[in-house]
Amino acid sequence: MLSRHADCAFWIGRYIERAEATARMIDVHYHFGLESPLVGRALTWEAILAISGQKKKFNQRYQEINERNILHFFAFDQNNSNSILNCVRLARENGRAIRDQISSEMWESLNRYYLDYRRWNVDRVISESPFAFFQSVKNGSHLFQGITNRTLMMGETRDFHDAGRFLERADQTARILDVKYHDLLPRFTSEVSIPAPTDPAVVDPFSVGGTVDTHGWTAVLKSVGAFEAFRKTYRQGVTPARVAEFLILNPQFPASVRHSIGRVEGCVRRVSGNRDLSPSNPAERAVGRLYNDLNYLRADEIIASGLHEFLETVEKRCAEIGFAIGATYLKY
Amino acid sequence: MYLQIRHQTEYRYSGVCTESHNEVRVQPFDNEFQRLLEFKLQTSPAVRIYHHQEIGGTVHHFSIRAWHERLVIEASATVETLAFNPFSRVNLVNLDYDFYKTEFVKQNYAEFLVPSLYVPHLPEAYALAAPFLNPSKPAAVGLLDLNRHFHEWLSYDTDATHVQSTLPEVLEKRAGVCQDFAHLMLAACRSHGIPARYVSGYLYIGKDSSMRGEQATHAWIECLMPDGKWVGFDPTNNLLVNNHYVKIHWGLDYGDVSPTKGVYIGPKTESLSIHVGIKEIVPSEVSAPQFTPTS
Amino acid sequence: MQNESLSLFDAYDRGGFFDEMLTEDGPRPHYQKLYQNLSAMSHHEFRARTELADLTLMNQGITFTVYGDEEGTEKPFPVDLVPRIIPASEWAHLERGLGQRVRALNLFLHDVYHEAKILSDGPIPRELVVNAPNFRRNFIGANVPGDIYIHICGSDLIRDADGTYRVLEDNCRTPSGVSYMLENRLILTRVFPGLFRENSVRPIDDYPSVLLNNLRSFAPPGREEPNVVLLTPGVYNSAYFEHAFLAQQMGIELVEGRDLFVDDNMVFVKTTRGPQRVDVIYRRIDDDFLDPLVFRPESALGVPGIVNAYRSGNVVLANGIGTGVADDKAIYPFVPDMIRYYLGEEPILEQVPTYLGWRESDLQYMKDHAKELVFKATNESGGYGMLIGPQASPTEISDYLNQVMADPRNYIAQPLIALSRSPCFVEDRFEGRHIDLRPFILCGKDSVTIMPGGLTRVALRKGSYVVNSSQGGGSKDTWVLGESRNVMQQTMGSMTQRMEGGC
Repeated sequence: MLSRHADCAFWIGRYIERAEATARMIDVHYHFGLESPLVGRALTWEAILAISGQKKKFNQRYQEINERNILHFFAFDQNNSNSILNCVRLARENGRAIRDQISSEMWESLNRYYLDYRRWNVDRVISESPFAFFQSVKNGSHLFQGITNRTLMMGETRDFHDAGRFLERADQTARILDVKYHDLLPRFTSEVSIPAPTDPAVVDPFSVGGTVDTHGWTAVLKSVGAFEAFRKTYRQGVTPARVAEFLILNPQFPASVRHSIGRVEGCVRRVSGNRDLSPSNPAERAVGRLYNDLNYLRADEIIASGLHEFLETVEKRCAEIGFAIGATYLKY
Repeated sequence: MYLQIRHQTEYRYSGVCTESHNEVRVQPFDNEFQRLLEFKLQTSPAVRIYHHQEIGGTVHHFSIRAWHERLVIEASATVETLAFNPFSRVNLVNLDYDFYKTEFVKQNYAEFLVPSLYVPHLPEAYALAAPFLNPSKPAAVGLLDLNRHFHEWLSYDTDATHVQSTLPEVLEKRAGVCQDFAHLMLAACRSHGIPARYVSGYLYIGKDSSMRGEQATHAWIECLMPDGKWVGFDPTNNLLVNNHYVKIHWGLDYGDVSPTKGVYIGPKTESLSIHVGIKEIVPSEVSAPQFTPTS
Repeated sequence: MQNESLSLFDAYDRGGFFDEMLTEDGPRPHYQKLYQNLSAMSHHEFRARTELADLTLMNQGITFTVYGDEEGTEKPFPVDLVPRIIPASEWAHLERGLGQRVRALNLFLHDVYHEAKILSDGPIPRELVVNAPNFRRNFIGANVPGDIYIHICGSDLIRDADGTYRVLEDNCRTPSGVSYMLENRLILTRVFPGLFRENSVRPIDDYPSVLLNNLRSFAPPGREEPNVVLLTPGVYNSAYFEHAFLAQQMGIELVEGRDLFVDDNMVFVKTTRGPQRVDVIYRRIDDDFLDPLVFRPESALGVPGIVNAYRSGNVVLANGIGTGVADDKAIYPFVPDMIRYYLGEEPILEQVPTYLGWRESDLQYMKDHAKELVFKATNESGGYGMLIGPQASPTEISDYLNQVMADPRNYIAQPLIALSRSPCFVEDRFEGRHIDLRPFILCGKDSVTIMPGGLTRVALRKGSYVVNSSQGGGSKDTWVLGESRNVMQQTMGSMTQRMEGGC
């Protein structure tokens, strides 16, 4: 297939996933902020900026970190290339460019997603219902992904789409975890290992295992749609180590880094048809290397050597995978 | 006279250039006034070079897809220019100017009479030439007078204009380089109905430092004479073209003959340096005829 | 139900024009059966079919893009369901005339880019050719496979008040509209399947395969499985639908400039399996935008280096470069001279008398008779840059004449031809609307194929003479009848009446 078409499919996958991840992130923290009188709003809005790595960009153009500005920046800002608006718009533009390669239902869904989204603005979100807004974004992404699953032929277009979608998902999960770790454990440096789950009767609400802490980690789980799945896996309760293990290494949870990277590997291997153990191109090498690490690492090893450092490496390697796929198949 | 020419063009980019496509017009003609004995063109990064004939001369072209931060195009040529008296080629006696009023000229040289990209129709150029170009004198005499007039009227100044300068700017500044002298004279000739075309080439100056044109490629014009021959006039140096001139390419204006032209993907060009070296050699130094490249 | 309503033809007014279907004495013979069918139909029924057709159009996304709209709005291209019918004998005449014409145009292009004998021998003023804006002087001496420059030609035909077919212009660059021809046929076969059985309409559905076979036959020597692609300017081009449609019908890749690159004087397409060599490009991008190295340097639509690869014979472009000089409106009046000069034949098809701004006597006439003439800029298309004298105000005329005087070479004028009309469904009955015809002519290495039919364009606005889709035009299916069947089979006609909704 044409490299450009593969490129479009790859980016549709990424943008649709990114739109959803952004909506989830703001949604959960939005509610976390509203529900948690103990934590100032500013803290959570700051965290969102940190996750997205866009604090600097935000500060350049907004005076104040507040609800309205944050919502505008992440959801509607045309100058923020990662705003939900731009993600949905670019997904649709890429869809238009490969309209004859995808199913017409997929195109209609992208088109509808965009047109519906254009009816929202900050005022409406705030006055009407932030919940309904975020739900509509999630639904838009889910509907598109469901239609894609159901109607797109198994083949290269689909593999590139899925590679984009799961690579983005792995990256977003790693970012959320990384920033929350910082945000909620300000007292730990990476050298200090995380203590075992503490007695819930600890006095200081800000300490590990305190109210704020539990609340924060629950928010992380919710933001990636993992809370219930986590509960079923770990009956003992929410601790940072367990959350990290679940979101990074759980092979069954569809948004875990390991699962997502495994899906990416499946896609690039199907594209090349390579069944050998050794990789046949830079894309396979980059993704295979990360997947192997995730398969064989243990949670305590990750934490002992520093969760933040590990997550940073994951983010960097996700970027390398994206670059390698691009250089091998899409833009040469 | 045997001339050995080395013409080097070097582009430096402020970063990596991933793709580059170029056309080069630097191969001297092989004709009744000059014999091309040797020609060689190479690039760095090295790449296969193709060529074809277009109406105004030879075009070489190549594509580079290896990453590079510097592109060098180097042409070397050995040319034998044949001695002749340029004044013996033109009529300085008979009144022949009416030739330009004929339907024959209007049809057969139509493209050399209309404005082109760099040579718009300018009433001012017409007015400047009016005292010289008229039926009261033989055409060649009028053109020689005009050649001298522009040589004096414009001052030679390498800083006054640049490659993209327009003719109105040149007229306003009354200064320019060979390209501007040539364009102005083209505009004047065409507006008076004298077919005229732009020529790029080299000028061998030798030790005479009062002449201009050796630092890079030179430019002059050719006018159609009433006997049907094209004769070269160089307003920059107030000369009729002789055996010190090596002709490379002709066209309607600079746009048709630029020695190097390219498009590339990469950062902006940091520097462009052109070096032309011409020296006279003795016949024993000339190697066997050799043309490259082949394709 | 039907008996209660009026016939769709009631109060039909031919308006003094040549009507394709009706004469004073009723329908022309080749329209007989269609007329009977339509007469028996109520406007409710006809409207229902029109709605069915519109739905099909929307569902299939048969649209064109309107320029000047921020997001490139797509509009359906309106189809009028009353077909235009051309009897076999008339078509045979057109076919011979168009074939003759395109052969002469290809010989002309080869000549002007080589010895230019026609210019030195006199029939065409040299000046008009060498100074034509689309004459590519640098291609003098360049060779193309089979000496074919125009692989796909769309010549516009009109019929005057006597019903005489005349060539109005030739489109030798990137003629469009063939997808609408094919889609109109598809729609009519769905909406009126019965009519086809009765009328022995010649099929046109092999257009894509003929075109593909032709394109493959031009591939560079030694390329056994030639790779043919269609090069489009992209989704925002007004004819993008057609590009996608044709690529799909031919089973070839639809590419944009950025999908292609030139290396070692050859063209490649970027695929997920690595670069693949390209042999033939059906390009729907104008010369100017094809290659920033050779033409407009700022163009981002094209492929740098492609023109030199073409010139070297390593890739074939269809149509070739420089064909615009053949459809220059100032060259058009000389096409009959070309036919005589190259083929030694008399032109089979008539043209429209044309005044050239370039010629002083014509220019004077154009000034004196502006109110009777249609003015056109020589290198515009799509109905832009036109002035229809009889319908223009004095100010519009004097403004336009000022433009003409500033650059006379760039303008021509023609008498206003009373274009023939055809019944079209308007609101609840048929009314006459002006039409033209664009047949599509395909040139292979040694053969010319003319699709039996073409795109009949309709000026949908009442009284309008402008049929271009960009100017509110629509289209009709065009039926060329086969020779074998008798067109007067009465029994079939009456059967249809009984079948009613089934036809």
